[in-house]
Amino acid sequence: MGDQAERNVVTTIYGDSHLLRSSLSDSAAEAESEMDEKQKSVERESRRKNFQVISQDSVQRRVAVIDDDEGIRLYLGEVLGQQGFQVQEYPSAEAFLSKLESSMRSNSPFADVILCDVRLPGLDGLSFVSTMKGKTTEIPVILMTAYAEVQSAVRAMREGAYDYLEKPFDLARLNSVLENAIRYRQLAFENKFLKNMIDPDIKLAGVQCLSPSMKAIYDLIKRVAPTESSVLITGESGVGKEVVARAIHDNSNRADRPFISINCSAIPESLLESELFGHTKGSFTGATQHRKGLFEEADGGTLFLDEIGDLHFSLQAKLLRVFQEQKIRAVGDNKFRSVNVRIITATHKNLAEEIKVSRFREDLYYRLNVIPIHIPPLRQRKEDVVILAKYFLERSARKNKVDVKGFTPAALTKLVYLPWKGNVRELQNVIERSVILCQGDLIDETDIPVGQASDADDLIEEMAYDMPTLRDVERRYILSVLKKHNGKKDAAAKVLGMSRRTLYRKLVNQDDDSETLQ
Amino acid sequence: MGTAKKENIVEVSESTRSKYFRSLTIQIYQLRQAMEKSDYKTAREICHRVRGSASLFGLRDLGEACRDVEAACMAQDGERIVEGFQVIEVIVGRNVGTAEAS
Repeated sequence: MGDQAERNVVTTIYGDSHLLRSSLSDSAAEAESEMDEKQKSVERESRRKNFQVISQDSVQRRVAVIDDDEGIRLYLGEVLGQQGFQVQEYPSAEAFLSKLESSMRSNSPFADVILCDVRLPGLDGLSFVSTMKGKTTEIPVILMTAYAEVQSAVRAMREGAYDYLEKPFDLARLNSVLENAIRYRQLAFENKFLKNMIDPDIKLAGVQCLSPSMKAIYDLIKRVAPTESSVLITGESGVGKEVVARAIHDNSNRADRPFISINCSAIPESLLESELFGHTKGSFTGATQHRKGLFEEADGGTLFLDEIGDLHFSLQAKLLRVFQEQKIRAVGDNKFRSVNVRIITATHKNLAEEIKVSRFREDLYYRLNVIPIHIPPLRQRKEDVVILAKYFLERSARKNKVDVKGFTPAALTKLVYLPWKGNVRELQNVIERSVILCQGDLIDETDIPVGQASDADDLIEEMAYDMPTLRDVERRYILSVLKKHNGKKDAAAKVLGMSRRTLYRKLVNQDDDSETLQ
Repeated sequence: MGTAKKENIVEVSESTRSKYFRSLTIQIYQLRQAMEKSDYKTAREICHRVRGSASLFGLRDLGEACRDVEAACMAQDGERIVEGFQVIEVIVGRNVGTAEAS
């Protein structure tokens, strides 16, 4: 562990209880804090300036008019143009959606408010409102309706339309509804941006880690989240790949749409295709009805494909097609459907190696790996152990309704120096066990079962070479625990889960055996 | 020219106006074809569409005539449809002629 990392760990463990002063002198700490404050102030000012620029540029007076009546389009184009609006005309909802798709792909907004007729050939106004609801663009939709269709418009407002206008238009109302819609869009945008200004820090499942490697990952998440780029997350099992994927989704423009997660290695290949792409009725034995796949379920949102390295080769080709065309085809169907899904993948495997042995498609790898994020194992970022442990303790105590308030310094030190082969997931499980087993209000070193379990695992692994008897394993393990506790039998007995008397008896028997053997 | 609501009369440019009349002429042609085939569904849709924008260009009487034909199509009343269509043709002919003359 580096000096800075060591200092972070020490400060985190002892800082609250003031048992140990930080290695920084008071004056150095003050200077550091002053610098932090200056830095924060510069960042705040920069964000404020960016906000002014972005808010002015992002919401303009761009109106999309969707109506199959060319007369209406011509009239609105002229009238709204005179009012200073930039008008684009679309003869159908489909034509608008097609433009929207391409604009979303290039991340270039083109409309701030939509005027849409209720009665349209193809996708009608009501269906259009529902479709737009799934697009998370937050562009207000105003429906244009004849008097007899007002009820439909009211229904559409319940579905999410911003307002409706009756034909023939009252110009004053047309203007006021449009101005309000533009203001609404501006406020929605400002609200989102200000929220980001106030709380710009990314948290993973509510925790903000301290290690430089995780801080770099937060920074990457912040920059990557608002884009549409695909992300490949790598790292050992249990490091929190899904948590990172979730954070990307939560900080993206798709945050209020579904985040769907699937572990590709957990589902048999024969079922995975139908799970991902859906199936039609009768497409295979047991397919008694049409079923949507996860791509459709995640439409407008994010699909997280965990353990992508285990995806079968034939399905890799199908996934590649989704990347290329943004279209899927259900099992047994002959039609392709368009989907708007951001794909995030993760694996613990080295995909470059998998490509070399022809188990993974190279073309797919390049599509997935636009933004690679590697999460280091917990043992390489000891600074995070304490903050994670405290977080899991609070959560577990609340969940199990027990009054465990924290850790003793010895317990925290033990946690920091354990190897955490199972990473954050292992830490979480260990803390949950400790919270349940702890009898006081602070978890002590001896309440943490992982030391024995993990050491025992190592010991057993080590012993497997000479294939000892069970009795021999017991003897060697008892001696190892005794050694770890400097020969203190009370402590060793507690760890071994036996009384001091039993430990004595076992030690005596082992001595007898040793003598016999000699 | 019809009697559109005063507040809705906006001076649209000559170019927009002529585009509108061109589109109106096409729609009336399509309406005639639909009627010749007794395709009342299409005829009704066209009338509905023309009605929507007619008053915006000051053609309120055209809007009213379209509303009558739309209702007649729904009732499948052939006689009223033919009568209504003749009215539509007269109004459109008069206005398109005026627009072309100006």
